[in-house]
Amino acid sequence: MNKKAALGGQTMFFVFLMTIIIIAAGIGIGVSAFFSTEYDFRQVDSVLLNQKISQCLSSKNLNLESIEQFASDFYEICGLNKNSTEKHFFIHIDVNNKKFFEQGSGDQTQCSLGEDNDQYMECTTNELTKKDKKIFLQTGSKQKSEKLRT
Amino acid sequence: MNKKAVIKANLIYILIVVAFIATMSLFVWDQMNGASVWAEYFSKETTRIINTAVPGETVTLDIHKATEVARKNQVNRFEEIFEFDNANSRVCVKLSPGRKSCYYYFNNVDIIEPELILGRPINMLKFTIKEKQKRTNNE
Repeated sequence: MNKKAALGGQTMFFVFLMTIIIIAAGIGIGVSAFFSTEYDFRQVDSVLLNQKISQCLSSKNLNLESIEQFASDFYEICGLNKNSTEKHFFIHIDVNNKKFFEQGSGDQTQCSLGEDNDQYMECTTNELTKKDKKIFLQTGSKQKSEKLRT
Repeated sequence: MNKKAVIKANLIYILIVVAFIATMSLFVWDQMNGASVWAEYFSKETTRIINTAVPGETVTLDIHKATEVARKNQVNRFEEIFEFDNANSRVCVKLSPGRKSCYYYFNNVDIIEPELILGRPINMLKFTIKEKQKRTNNE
């Protein structure tokens, strides 16, 4: 057997193996990236939260004069879970153009940034009037799925 | 050089290519099965229903696709597929072994009496919405 030819064949084996590995890695990365894209639900969350709070502000008897009274009654009267809302959602309320109530993770800056950049919070705004008070409501969500090992 | 000798010389390459094609096909097929995507979808859609529901309502959801995917991935027990964590206000869906997808809802309610209704004519999930019960710190 021609030793030089055999050596060349053996060298090409490693080149072949490297090519296969690179192709496999490329297919793996491409398919994973495609199928692992998050099903983005943040806009739906913020719209639903906004609707729920708007309905509550319109129909329920919440104290819009005292911030402390409002803060202590808000979650219970509007049927919102305080722990879950504070961790995963954002609520901002202005009354007569003055900041009245703000809670949750995030702020209005993130809402503004979220309009142009998907990496930030998705927010929904609404304006309503109640008893001569102009109410501005902004809700946001940046919640992503939690993938847990069992 | 005869055919046998050619095949023998290239056998290792042929075996590697076959193994490569088999592995890639399995991987792509597994991703297309999409257990992770479907688990995420069902957890989010279920929380959407919960967020719009009021206490006293009974909800029935079509989860036929979820049960099909779970069965393909050897997740057969209903308690494993849908998990309602009332203490943390979250819904978890598990459609493949070892992994579940969870999502939180903001509505202050508890989910009670979850039940899987099989094959009438499709698989459905039924549960009742109830006002949130106060819990102690130990729960």
